[in-house]
Amino acid sequence: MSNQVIYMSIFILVAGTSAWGQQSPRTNPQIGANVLMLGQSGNKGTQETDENPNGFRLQEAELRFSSNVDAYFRGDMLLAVEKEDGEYKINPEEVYVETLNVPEVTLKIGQFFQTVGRHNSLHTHAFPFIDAPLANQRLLGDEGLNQAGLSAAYLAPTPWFLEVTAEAFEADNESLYGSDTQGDLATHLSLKNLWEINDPSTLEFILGFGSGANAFDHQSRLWSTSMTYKFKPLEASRAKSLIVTAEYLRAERSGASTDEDVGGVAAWVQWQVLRRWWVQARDEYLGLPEPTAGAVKKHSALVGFAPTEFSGLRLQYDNIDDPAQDKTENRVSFQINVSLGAHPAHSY
Amino acid sequence: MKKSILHPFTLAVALFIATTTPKIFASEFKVVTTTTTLQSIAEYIGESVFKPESITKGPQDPHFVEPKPSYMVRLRSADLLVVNGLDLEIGWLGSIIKGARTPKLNFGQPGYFDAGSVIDAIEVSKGGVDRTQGDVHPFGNPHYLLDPLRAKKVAEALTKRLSDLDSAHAEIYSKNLNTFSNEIDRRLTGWQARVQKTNVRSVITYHKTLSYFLDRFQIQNAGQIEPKPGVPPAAKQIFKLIDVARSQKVHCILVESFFEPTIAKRIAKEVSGVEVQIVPVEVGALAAATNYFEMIEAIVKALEACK
Repeated sequence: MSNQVIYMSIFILVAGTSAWGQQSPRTNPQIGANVLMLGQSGNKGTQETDENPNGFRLQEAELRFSSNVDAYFRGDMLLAVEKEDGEYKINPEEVYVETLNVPEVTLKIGQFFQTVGRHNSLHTHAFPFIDAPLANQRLLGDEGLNQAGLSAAYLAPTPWFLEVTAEAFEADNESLYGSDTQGDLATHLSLKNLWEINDPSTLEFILGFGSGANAFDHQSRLWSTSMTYKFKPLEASRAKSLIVTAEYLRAERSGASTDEDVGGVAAWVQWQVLRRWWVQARDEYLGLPEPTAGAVKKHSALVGFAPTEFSGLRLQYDNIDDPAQDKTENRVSFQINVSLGAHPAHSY
Repeated sequence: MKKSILHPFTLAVALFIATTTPKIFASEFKVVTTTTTLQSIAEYIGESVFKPESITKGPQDPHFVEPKPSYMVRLRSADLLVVNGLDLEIGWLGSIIKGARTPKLNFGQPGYFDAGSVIDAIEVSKGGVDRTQGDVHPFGNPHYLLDPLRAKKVAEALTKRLSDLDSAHAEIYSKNLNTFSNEIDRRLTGWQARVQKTNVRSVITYHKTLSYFLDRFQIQNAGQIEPKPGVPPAAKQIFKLIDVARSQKVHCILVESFFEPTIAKRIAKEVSGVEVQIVPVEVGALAAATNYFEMIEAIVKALEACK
């Protein structure tokens, strides 16, 4: 089913843009690309097969096409070009159509990031750090949870922002579900709240729960919660800001020889000290509710320089203490992140 | 037998009243604008009918607004969205409209009023546009409301749209427009005479925010502190402007309140006779700019203070 959904989405997207109808450049889709170059050096990563090999590489090139299809649908297609097992591959990160004309609810069909916490919905170029939190990588996989399916996001009539999102999607995510049976669906429900505390600050709170069939013909369950505080003075909206986020993910896979129940916390601070400069820190702990093989601890620090909103240079240091490894890993990464062409606004 | 108050019919009626009453009270026509300057103009036209809300606040630079989900909540019950257009809100408005999930406010619908589409824009890019030029607005400079006559034109078109959507109050809107337009004409004559009296014929600004205002009042813009729109100045640009101020005898630097006056003050220190004035370019950007007229008044006063 997943392939059919993707092909259908591409068809609708393409049919809705200029190729079919009038050939006016004004109805061309917005086209953009994000290029992420990475240089890395560490006491691990000396083997080509390492997950994070030393040296320079193209971390990812994301190609994005978005456009209103017609008066009823909007289409978005984001393809990621990246190296996997030594070869460049194109992965559809997100390919979907969503409704424009349904009041109160946005319906979405295609392949898209499920609304698990805050980080899972971000594209690689918008990650607060060069890499995703450990919990996201281990529990949801390198690409995150982006399965093909359906979603309905309802804006509740509350005085604060409350979005209730229900999703049903293919349970074939290898890390979490990995069901062999075609057509096995997983479901996820999330509540996203945002309160405007005062003009400069907001508080966001996201809760999510999901379940679906897994590779052992049992159920996998996923809990997530995320809290973000943002501060940005109105008068200096470009020069100063502070973002503090804490996120907890927990996944339980029953049916394996021993039931797996692993969770992780990641907390990070992003401080914009000057208009173009960011200083950031992140702390992570993976192995909740109880460390079976021992807990993994990771500490990261980052300095970022963004000449404009279309380019960024970032230097990140990681210290990873994994009991499964013989020694503590230390790594320094340098990333150049540039945006070409149209770039739809990031979500708040 | 005494009937219980909890009879299902009574409950149903109570429920109906409870759910519909807020709607009856909330039936007032609701207008949301993207900026406080548009809000002020809408306030004059909608006087005694509705109180418009603005998504951004006065001290906020409308180029750089984060699409807070709370703005979607503000927008979802609106009957009319008034936008500045000419790409001013390109970085954030699309996701707010999408998130509000109110189809009548979508681009091109009667509930979407693009004020930028009713005026003649200046500084429209000819030929190709490229990001090496900074944050250029290819469809023209979006700060047209700083020209009182263009603001009048926007008020006229807005009145027409309001009368189409809310015909019951068309007469009031038309009367309010009349009052607003007459006030513009009356004050503009006074403002022009006052600006004439000052010796200011050429100014330096931070960004190209004041182009329409300067055009209307026949003042040259000798240069901008930003070397390119959106790009902060380096030392080279400061030396260039010191030269410009000396050679063209500029004695007034107007810094739009969204920007830092530090560099303007440095130029003023180097070149004798140069005054730095901070001016509001949106209603509410400075305390004095309480409404549309007071905002223009504050800029005129800044020019007077330069003489």
